[in-house]
Amino acid sequence: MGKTPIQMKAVVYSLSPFQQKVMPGLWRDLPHKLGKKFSENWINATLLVAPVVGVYAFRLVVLTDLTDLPDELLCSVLPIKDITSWSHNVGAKVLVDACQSVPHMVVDVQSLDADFLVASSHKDSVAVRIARTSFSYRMQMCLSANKSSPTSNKSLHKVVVDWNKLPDDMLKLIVKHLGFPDFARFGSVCSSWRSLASVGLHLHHKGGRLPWLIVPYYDVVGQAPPANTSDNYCPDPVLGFFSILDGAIHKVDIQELQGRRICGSSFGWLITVHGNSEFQLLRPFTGKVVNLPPLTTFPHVGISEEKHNSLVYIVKDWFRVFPDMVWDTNRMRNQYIYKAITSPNAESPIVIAIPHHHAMLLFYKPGEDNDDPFIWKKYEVATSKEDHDNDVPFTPTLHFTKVTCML
Amino acid sequence: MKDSFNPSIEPPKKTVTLVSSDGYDFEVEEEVALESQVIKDGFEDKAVDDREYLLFNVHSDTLELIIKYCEKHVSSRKSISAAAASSSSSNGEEALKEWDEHFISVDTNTLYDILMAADYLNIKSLLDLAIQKVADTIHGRSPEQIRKKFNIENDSIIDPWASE
Repeated sequence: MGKTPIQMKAVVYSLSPFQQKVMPGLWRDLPHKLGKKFSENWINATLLVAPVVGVYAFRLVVLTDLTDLPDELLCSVLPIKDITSWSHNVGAKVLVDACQSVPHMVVDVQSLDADFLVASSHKDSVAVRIARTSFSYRMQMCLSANKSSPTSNKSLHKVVVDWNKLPDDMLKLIVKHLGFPDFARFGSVCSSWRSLASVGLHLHHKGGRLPWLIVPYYDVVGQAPPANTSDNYCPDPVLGFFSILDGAIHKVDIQELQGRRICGSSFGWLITVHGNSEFQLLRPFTGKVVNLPPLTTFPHVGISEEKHNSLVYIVKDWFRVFPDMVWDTNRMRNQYIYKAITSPNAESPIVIAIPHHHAMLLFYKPGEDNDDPFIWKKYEVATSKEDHDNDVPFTPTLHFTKVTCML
Repeated sequence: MKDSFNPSIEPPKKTVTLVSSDGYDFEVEEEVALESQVIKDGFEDKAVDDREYLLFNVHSDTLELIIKYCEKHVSSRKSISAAAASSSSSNGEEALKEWDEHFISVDTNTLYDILMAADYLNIKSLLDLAIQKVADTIHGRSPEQIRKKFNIENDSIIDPWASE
């Protein structure tokens, strides 16, 4: 780099009046500090010495046209141009710390002719975001890579792709374009996305999460509910999610719900039943599904035959008083399961269901019966139809007429 | 290709040099560069007639795309206003929309670069376009699929939809 040793006679380090006021410790023990710097790190020392050499032969100039500023803003401007030319004469590189000056004044880096210039962009100046010259920067780049050809530095300063660390204001812009279910899924991608979405999604509230209330969704306010909503069955897989926080009803289109009736909900799971005998747990936003043993595995349920490609069920009376009933798929879906609840663990859920006559609880736990794991077990016989209100001791949400969904 | 980016049309057009973070020069017409609000601001309060801008955060690969976008928008804006002046019907805006859609159909890594560069250079229409693309990519996907698509590591210990 063509460095020439500089013969030092004396060292003078000068600061503006303001700096002297706020940094009194700087002068203490100065010779010792400098000596240490020189002996330990001679490259830094050379960079430090260059402006000092200039200052030695030159007195500081205090700008007079800034006198209308308050006292503490008075600043000194070093004659960098001269310093660099003197330094270059003796072969030293010059580094200019322009962190404080760039936000306050126009710094023409090219004419300063310094080898390095440091400025910080957080001082909120447009002038810094786009540097006025590339000279010092390129110099620095060539030194750091020790190559002058840009083609060999193809990967230099390539931005590291990390969606996880997207700035909040940009995430907010993205969220504005998302509908409600997308927003809900967005919230469970990673922690930083979740923290942004948490307020809108009822997450992390004191005292646990606020529940959403699932209600029928109508496009037109005041529209009559579709037929047979009394069975909690909607022909369209569209639900309304009512938020207690803002009173809004968000439309949620859940394709997985097509043809299924919601017969219960607990711990964020919807429990659904289909006319083709499928019995499932469903996460409304993520679409995750856990299959449970189908209706045909329930005791007292049989299939008589297939008529026109659809199932016909035989439902036996629990008390064996009445003859067997023949139910079609719609009736089976809408009426057979009165209510169901599940435990939170999706890997091995414990599900309890109440069949239509309310006279028993059926219990399902995977892997309990090795011979036939897919079977519903009778758990307990309630004495009569009148007692069914004392049903399942899992959660009080069972008593709500509308299905609530704890999220 | 990169250093000789100037398409060299009629000579008296004013040009600006943009320098990418990896040291390439891109010479572009002034009005193309002014699509960036940041360059525009810098341009207005600039005392010296200095026509070189160093873009610390924009890699040459990305800068090439950005310039392509700005050039297209400047030229199609001109042709749209020309068509409006001659009151002839034109589908310029729709064609531009289609072009935008094609332009932003890139892999997620490139999309990230464009997003960051558009934010840094403050090119509003491009930022909107990229944001919309991200939203469209998220749309209809499960969290797991989103993570896979954007290559995001799942650092949440708990599933927010599950109860503790």
